[in-house]
Amino acid sequence: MKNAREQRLIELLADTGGEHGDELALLRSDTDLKEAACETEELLVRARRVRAEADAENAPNPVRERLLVDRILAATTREDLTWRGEWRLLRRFVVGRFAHSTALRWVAASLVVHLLALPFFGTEILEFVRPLRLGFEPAPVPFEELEEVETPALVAEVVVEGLESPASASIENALRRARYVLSRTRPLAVPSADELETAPLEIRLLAERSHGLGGGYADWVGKSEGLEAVDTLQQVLWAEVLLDGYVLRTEQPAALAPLLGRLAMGSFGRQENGSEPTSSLVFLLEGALERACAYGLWEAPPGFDPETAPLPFRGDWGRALDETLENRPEVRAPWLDPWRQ
Amino acid sequence: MANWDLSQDPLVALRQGDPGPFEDFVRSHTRTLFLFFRRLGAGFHRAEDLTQETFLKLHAGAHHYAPRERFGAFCFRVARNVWIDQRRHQGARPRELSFGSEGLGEATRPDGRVEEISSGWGGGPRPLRDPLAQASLGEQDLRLRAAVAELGRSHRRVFEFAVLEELSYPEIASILEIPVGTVKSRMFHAVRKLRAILNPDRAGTGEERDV
Repeated sequence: MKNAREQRLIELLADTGGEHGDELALLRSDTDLKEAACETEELLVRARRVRAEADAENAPNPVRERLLVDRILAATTREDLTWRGEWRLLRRFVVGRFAHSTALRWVAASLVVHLLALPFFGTEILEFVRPLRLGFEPAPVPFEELEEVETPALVAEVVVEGLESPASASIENALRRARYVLSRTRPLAVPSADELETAPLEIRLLAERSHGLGGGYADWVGKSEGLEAVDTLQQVLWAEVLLDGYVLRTEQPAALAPLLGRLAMGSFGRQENGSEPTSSLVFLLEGALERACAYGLWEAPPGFDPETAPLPFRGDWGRALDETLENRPEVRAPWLDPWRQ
Repeated sequence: MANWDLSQDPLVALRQGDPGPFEDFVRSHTRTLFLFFRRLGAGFHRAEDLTQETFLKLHAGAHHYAPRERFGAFCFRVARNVWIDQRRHQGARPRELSFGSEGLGEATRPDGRVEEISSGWGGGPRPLRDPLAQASLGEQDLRLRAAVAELGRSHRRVFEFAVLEELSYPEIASILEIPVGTVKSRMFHAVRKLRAILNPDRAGTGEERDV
């Protein structure tokens, strides 16, 4: 019972905001509680004094307090709802997240390092994979969309409107396929003109093919290297150069017809040194003739289907060239590798 | 059943489109909350940040706010949660002991729970005024602090809210989420024990126990 009264006394003494005058006076007058009342009052007074002293030392100065109030109001009821306010809010959020999370700071730092290193490593990787070439490459066009490719002038003469024959359609298709392949074939980093001057004719012809792919056919006027071609491989390569030129420029080079004639007449049946032609050389030769046949530049033998004409720079062509040049290391230049693969 | 004036509730007014009461509340209670966090052991700048965060939380929660208690008590409850969240965020970082050396603030226990060990009594080194008076007051303060530090955690919290924050028993009950009767009991035992410690020659009734 005494405890209950003392508990009530403490409650009333601790309650600074209440009006308990009569009840408090009654409890204080209780002889059993007199001592407890005095000690409790003394305790509470001392505690509040200590608190007041501590608060006086710890409280912010008025200027600081006003700044804090302004900051709080600016972030709540007076928040800026324009884009500046949104930006400030976002920045505050990000800064807050970063301030709280060490892991996030590490992730962000790692991301920045990676982004900074990306151009460097990207360049390195590209250079490792293939020689860096600036400029735009033709976008890979699906074969089905090739109808939009410009028709060569020669084909346009053949294909009469409304009277399109299967043969002319095949020629047109073969030319489109060849143009498509050539447009996607990467030019090689060929040796310099000085180096080429002393290079074997085969190398010069292959360099010329590459030069043509890089846009050289636009000003190609039919160089004379091919005139020096004497052996079969040289003539085959010269024919390939001229055929590329035809596909890309749509003008038949003057040297092409006699060259095809020589190749077709069977002068290649035996190599100049008297040995039998290798199967790879025969493959290259037939490939060139089949191309010419498919483009309508040479009369196709009966049963020949131009649709199946070999495409320029296909893989088996490169491999056959490789085999043919097996015993001629001076022609096996490393820059030819991309074509052989 | 609420027996206070809801029209004075800043968040109710804010929800109704009137920011005035909330702004008034910010002006009048920024110092109170700031000191509350300082007593809990926060440094000066952290106490500012925590004060701002408390008001931001109040403002952000206005749309979902349902008044069930006096706004002051609700505000202290939010502030207490902000403090606990902040301690959790700090994790294993060293405790901030800007408020004296008796281990103020809260400690993160090995099991990850945040334990409040605030005693909230006074600050760090004080400027010397009258050396004799300072010595006397200092001794009394130290005895009082030591006595409060001896209280159990639950008793100490009730005592601090009642004496330092001058909150009513129902408000303390609301903040600590305990019945009012428990608040009364804890306060009774806390005061008894303090009296017994501070007046040892008249001791004999200080059978404090955690309730």
